Amino acid sequence: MTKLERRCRVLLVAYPAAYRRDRGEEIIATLLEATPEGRKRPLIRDILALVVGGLKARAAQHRRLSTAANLRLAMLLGVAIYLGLAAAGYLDDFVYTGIRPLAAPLFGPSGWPALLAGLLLLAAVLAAWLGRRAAIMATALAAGAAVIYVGLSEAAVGFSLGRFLCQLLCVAALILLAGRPERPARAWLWLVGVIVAAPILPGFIQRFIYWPYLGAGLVLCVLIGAVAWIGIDARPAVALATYLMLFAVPVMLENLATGASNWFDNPSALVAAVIAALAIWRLRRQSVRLQ
Amino acid sequence: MREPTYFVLAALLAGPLHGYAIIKRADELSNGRVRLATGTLYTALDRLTAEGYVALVSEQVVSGRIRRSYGLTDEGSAALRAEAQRMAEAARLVTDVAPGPRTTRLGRKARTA
Repeated sequence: MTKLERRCRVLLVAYPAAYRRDRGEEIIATLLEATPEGRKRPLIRDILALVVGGLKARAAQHRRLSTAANLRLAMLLGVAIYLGLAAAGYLDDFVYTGIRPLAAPLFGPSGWPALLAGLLLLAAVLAAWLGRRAAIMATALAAGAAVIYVGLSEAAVGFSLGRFLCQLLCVAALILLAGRPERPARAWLWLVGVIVAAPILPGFIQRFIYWPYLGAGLVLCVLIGAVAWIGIDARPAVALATYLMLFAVPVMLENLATGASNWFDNPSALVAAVIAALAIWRLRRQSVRLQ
Repeated sequence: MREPTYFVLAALLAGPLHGYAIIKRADELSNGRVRLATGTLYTALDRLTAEGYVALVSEQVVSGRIRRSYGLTDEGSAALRAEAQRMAEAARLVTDVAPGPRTTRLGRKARTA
């Protein structure tokens, strides 16, 4: 493989995987023929056209689905992000108590129930992407049971009822939203992974170097990325708004229950509402209109 | 119809062609004005195939790579001729009318008077 061909193949990453499988070799052949002899890299206009063409092909992927189907997939991604972060929280509790057995975790349960709840929640999220309906149902029910067990065992020492109920609601939503003919894109699992890593990574890195704004910076990057992607695909932004709402509503309900006067004063809910309005408006334009 | 799309369809008028041959033919037909980039060509081919103007005609393997040839459909041919007709009528609006007296720019004094 020549240097030129290797560079042309790198450019094809702009296209969705299914498109690359179907047309990748054909595009490479045309690109190699169209590039003047002796050049080691494609022409600038070819590079730009391939990147723009790839983004257009990505945007066209979900335009054959209805608004309802796209909204369902976006909400599934939001629920998966919420459950992924909940799982990371349980696993963090387990690791924390494992490293310092005498210290109580900052929040949530500790020990083996936490490990079980964390792993089962992750399995339910993976099954929603990769598994059949029976597998989704089985893992989600097992995860729900583990969350209830942890919640009940923790109830004696005080716990966040809103967060606990929200996790159960998300497990139920996972069963309802997943397992339909339209499956979420596999690439979205990377997005779940990055978002789950965002709050954990800074804690890990800060054991070695102090970098105070790393966590907030990562979250901000993900937010800006999802909003910037709205023109191509509005679904990640809807997913992020769903997650922010799931994050904000339990806190607001708990504040309401305790009689706090500023219970509605929640920036996450406001950001979620603005992103959701913008993204759903774009999603309606990007989806097929059913006759 | 945008100019690159017009020349992609025009390139296929004489018969089916593969990707690079379409680029070369569009370049020749437009006297070098339309130089299609590879990404632009395949975006246009995707759209034209979805609209039913272009269809895949043959597939063959050349030097270990797949080479697909595309041809114009009846719908594509009709759309191309309709566009050519529209452009010819638009051109006649200009070419068939004798030029009238030319307007000259007013001087500063005339405008403010």
